[in-house]
Amino acid sequence: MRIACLLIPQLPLAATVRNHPGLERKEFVVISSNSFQEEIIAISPRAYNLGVRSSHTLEQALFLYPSLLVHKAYEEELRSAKRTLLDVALGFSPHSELTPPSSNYFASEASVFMDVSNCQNFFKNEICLANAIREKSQELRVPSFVTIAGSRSSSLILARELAQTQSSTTRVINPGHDANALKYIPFELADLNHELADRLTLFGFQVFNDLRKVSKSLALRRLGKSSQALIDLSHGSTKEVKPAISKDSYFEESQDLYLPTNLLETIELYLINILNRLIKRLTSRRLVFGDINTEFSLDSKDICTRQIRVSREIISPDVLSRLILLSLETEPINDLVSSIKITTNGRSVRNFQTDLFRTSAPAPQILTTTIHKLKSLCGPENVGSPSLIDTHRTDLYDLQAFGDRSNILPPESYTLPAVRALRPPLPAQVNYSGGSPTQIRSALANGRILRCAGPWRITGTWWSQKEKFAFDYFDAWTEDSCVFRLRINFYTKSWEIDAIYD
Amino acid sequence: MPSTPPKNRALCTTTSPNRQLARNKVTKAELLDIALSGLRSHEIKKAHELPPNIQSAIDFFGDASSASTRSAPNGTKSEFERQFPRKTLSEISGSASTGRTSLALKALARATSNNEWAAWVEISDAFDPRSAAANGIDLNQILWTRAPDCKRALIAAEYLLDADNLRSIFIDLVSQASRSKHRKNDLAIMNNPSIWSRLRIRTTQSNSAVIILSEGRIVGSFADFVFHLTDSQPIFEEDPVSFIGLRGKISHYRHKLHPGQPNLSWESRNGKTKTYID
Repeated sequence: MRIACLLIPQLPLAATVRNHPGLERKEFVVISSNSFQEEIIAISPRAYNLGVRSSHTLEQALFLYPSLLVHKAYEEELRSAKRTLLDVALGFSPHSELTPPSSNYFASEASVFMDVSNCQNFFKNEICLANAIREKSQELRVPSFVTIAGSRSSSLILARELAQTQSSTTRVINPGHDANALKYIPFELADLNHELADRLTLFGFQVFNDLRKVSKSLALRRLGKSSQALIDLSHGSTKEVKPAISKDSYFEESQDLYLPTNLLETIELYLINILNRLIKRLTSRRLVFGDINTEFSLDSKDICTRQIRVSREIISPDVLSRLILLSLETEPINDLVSSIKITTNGRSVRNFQTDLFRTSAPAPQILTTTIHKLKSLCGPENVGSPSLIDTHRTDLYDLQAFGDRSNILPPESYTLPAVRALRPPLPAQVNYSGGSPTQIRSALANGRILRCAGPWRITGTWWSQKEKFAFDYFDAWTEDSCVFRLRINFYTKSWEIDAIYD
Repeated sequence: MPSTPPKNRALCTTTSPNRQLARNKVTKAELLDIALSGLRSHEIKKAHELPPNIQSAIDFFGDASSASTRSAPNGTKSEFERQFPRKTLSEISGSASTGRTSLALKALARATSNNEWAAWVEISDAFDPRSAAANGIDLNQILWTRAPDCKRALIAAEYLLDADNLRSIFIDLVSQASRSKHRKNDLAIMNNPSIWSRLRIRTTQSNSAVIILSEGRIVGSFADFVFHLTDSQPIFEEDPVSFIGLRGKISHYRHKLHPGQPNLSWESRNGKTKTYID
């Protein structure tokens, strides 16, 4: 088995730079809360050179360097950066998983394991593969250290060593040479529990090579059963199962606004920034957008959500941000926005092949924008594709999203001229004698009814108080040349005109 | 007086033989012969012998189950394309129950039968999906927009024209009695000729055909083609009494740049539509 490990030593730092690229070359620190007494959880390289250390409180750091920039770490930012690291791995191998959070000294790191056993078919050698993974992680703005070894533990420990020494960004251990590679690496990098670490110190074991010098049974007797994995690792005989196949397609990106605003132009800039990150992540896994859910956290602590449906072909941040803004224009937010979160479920790319016999149609980007413009103009409930409902009621229908092709019901064998529906039905006063209406008075037709056909009775859903219906329909022609569909509602005891034949 | 019409001659009569007919070598004397033979309003059986522009109108508004539902082969114009060419503004007008919606839905069915997308914008929420599907319209191909008023319907039409490559855009501006509160504003917009002038310019710049449904002729001379429906009557069948269709007349007006067509009579009975030349 060949395992690659992608390691970000300081996740809060990487997450901050990822969301705010302007901070990359600045002196800044990351804190976990707004308190001055709070400890610093990440320091930028420039701030580190100025003498700021992670043991300092924010107050102490600002005393050292008054113009130090301070950024608060958000849980969403950290989660997005972590998941982006997983996306990098999933772009190469489906057998990828995030490692559980480490403790103590390595609490701020994030790492991913991926099985690269069969990746040599696609790359010249494992060094090329490691470099490709590193390049992809840089492209997605989560630069990580990459190591390839025979087990998870050895690849993780070697990645930590790389991060500490900064000698290189990638390292590949030849198969069967894990123990040799770990030889002079101290046990601190293995993130051991306190009890085992104390025992190792007690017996004078400092590096992995010290454990190799004694027999396995002796080491196990001295260090206890909890040391079994460590002893196997030092002898290069670790047995592990490879990471499970990940089918996760949930994507989430968020951005906090330094200054809450309700200006659409400002919000658009942030939206484009977030969408750019999402698009990079999706394309790295050869996926496209599903439904896009946008959450706007407001200054009043409320959350406002907007959902838009987009065509699979749309991967332009400008178009997508315009669509979200159109949804905001349709239903404006009357408060300041303090942060934005966009989530989506990635969909596979459509295998679409155009041909000479297909009629031309609007480009998906243009069509989606047009539909959203129409929704903004006329209301989202008034735009779509009409569809039939499997019912005997003549006035029921549904409105689906355009392009869904959800109409699968066959049309009825309907032989009358087209009708113009009246929604809601128009009330009418009718004189009824001899089993048919004789005179009508309404906003549409008035006077004597010259010819009348019917009644055609339709009843149904009597078991439901809300949906039950019982109508007698008549086709009537009045002396003012109007031909219409008249009905009597047995539940409300009223006459109505529900359609005109036209 | 011949008992049977001569061969290679259209089985039709016309009240006003025009230049177009003359160009197609149908002399006045022959037309008179046909008129006297009592074939007024006879169904066209040999339509392929007619002049092409008359042929297209009859084919188009004829029975959808005939050859007209065929999609056009590559490189040739479909029937919809011939009747409502791209970049043109057309109007189907008439009062209630004259059959304007039937004709519009027939046009829409022709448009969607070629797998082309069409848009239906309306102000009265009167589009009936059940009736549309029964008229042969593929509902999946229709983008339906219910605008609250005439102004927004026209703005929506402009957005759709911007989308480009949307084959046909139907704008139903027939106002229902239930919409009386918007009627005043709608009428003010409809009676403003500059709007139709702009819409026509916008249509000629686009790649779509715009068809307007109205109660009276509101687009005026800005329309390239006008189908005005009049003299409608319902058709009832006896024993049992049942309503089976409508019949009426179509006055066909064209823009001065386009050749004229004779007026037609139209009948929709039991879901089958027939068209005659008056």
